[in-house]
Amino acid sequence: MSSDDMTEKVIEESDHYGEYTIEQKVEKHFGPNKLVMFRVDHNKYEYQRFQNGNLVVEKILASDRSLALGIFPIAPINTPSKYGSHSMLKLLTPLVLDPKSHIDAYLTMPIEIGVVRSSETDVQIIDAFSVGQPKYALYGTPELGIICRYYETSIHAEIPKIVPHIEAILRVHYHNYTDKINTVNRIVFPIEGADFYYRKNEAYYNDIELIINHKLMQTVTEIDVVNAEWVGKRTNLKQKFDGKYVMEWGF
Amino acid sequence: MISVLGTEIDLLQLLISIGIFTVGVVIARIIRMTVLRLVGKHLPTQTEIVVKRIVYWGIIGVATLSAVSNMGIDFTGVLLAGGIFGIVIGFATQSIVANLISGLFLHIDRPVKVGDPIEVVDMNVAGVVVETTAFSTRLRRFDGVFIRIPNEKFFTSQLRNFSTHVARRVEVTVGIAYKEDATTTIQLIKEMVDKDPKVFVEPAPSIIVWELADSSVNINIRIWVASQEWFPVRLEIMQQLKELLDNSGIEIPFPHQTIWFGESKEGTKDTLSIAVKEVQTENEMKTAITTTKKTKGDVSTIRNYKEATESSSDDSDVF
Repeated sequence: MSSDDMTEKVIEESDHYGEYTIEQKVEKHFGPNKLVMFRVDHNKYEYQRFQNGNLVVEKILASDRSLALGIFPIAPINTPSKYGSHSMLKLLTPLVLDPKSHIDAYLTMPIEIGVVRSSETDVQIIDAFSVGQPKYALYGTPELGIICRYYETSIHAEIPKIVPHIEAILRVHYHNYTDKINTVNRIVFPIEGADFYYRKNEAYYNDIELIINHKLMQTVTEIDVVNAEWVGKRTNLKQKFDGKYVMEWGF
Repeated sequence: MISVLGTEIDLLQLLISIGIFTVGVVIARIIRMTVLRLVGKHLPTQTEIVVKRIVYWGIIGVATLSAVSNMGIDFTGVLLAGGIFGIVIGFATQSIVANLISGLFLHIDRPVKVGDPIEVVDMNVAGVVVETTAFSTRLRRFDGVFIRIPNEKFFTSQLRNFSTHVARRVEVTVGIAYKEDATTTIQLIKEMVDKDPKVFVEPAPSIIVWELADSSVNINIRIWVASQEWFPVRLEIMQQLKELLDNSGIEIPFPHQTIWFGESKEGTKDTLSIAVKEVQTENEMKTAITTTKKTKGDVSTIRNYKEATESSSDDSDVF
């Protein structure tokens, strides 16, 4: 399928992720949000977002060439304001790990939708919104902790069905290298700057390694976000991303 | 031998003195660089310049005195005069030096940084830090007025920094009437704060009956938010609370008191109700007195009315 064919198809279905060349007026719907993109004159384009029928974002985009805008799943840290760069997934059913055990499981996580303008030299998110209701939590103490995007999720053995435009799938590899039984209630991992994978209206995050081991006589949970090989396109936002984190406030 | 200021100086001594001075200059430069490497990155530009000059010229001064003394020139008188001058200057610049030293300690202690919203409690000043210099800290008060606080006062004052921590707690208390169901009200408030994306899930919001007060049942709401959202969220919560309770038909009572006048002789428990009544004639006044004479309070009140009526020149239109 050529990119032009895909653009046509997506416009018809109107709620898929992807990159769209603004040749004609394009309208897309994501929950209560309606995105409208159209050409004003030969080198100006306009982007509008309506929420429940009210215009909330309006931008003029100047380009000498044909304009392409990407609508991608992005890290859920922008709405209502940017408070932090991590996500906290609270497991509705805690996972009890045997000593020296390993398990792989699927979870769902929240996403936001970003409208992205890409050029040869730069990539900018020109609008970001959340279809679901964003919630945040403090991980750690007020003086040293971090603010995380909060989401409650369940553990799945197989790839779960997700709520389009609200959730993404991620795979977690749990490793318990200690001699003790450990119960995992939550996962906190870095997400700012990370790329997602997408296919139609489905979104996937990278894989996460959750490693419980002993260091300096303490049980330490190390998080390592590693690239996955999902079926779908990668967003390639070219942002700085550090995928390692130590959950020092417990799991 | 050459003569300098009336003193015969050996050429070798002169060369040694020049050597001492040169070594002093080199040492001054090395120490200046070392000090800047160690503390320079922690200091603002202006303070860095001041520290650089003090270190450099201090060492150059010592080197100069050493070089001159080596030549046998007696500087006792100059030093004595300099000492006295130094004491005078010291007293005169006491506050400047105190501010400078306080500024240095402020940069080490770092209780605030540019952009922080703070309150200087002792001085009753609140605003945003716009600049910290060697001698003063400058604030933009929340109403936009520029405030300059000498570092000595700033350093010794009690400070409140509203953005040091990533999260802060918003606390609001609202009173509902005694006739209202507190459990239902708490549930409604909980649903309201849960809908707000700025309110954290963890630490969980706390909504409890806090006090059985004189006129109301006080419900206390404690929620955690990002520090930068504290003020907006507090305003929003107050507004939303008022609308929620109004829309739910839950009364927010104003302070009121019920006055109890005890029992009558017949054992009835009438409470006093005062009605302001316009009395046109003396007969109407007498009727009012007779009707309301049953309770002590009313008699007293009416007696005052009567006295006022009698002392008036025109009996017909007192009240």
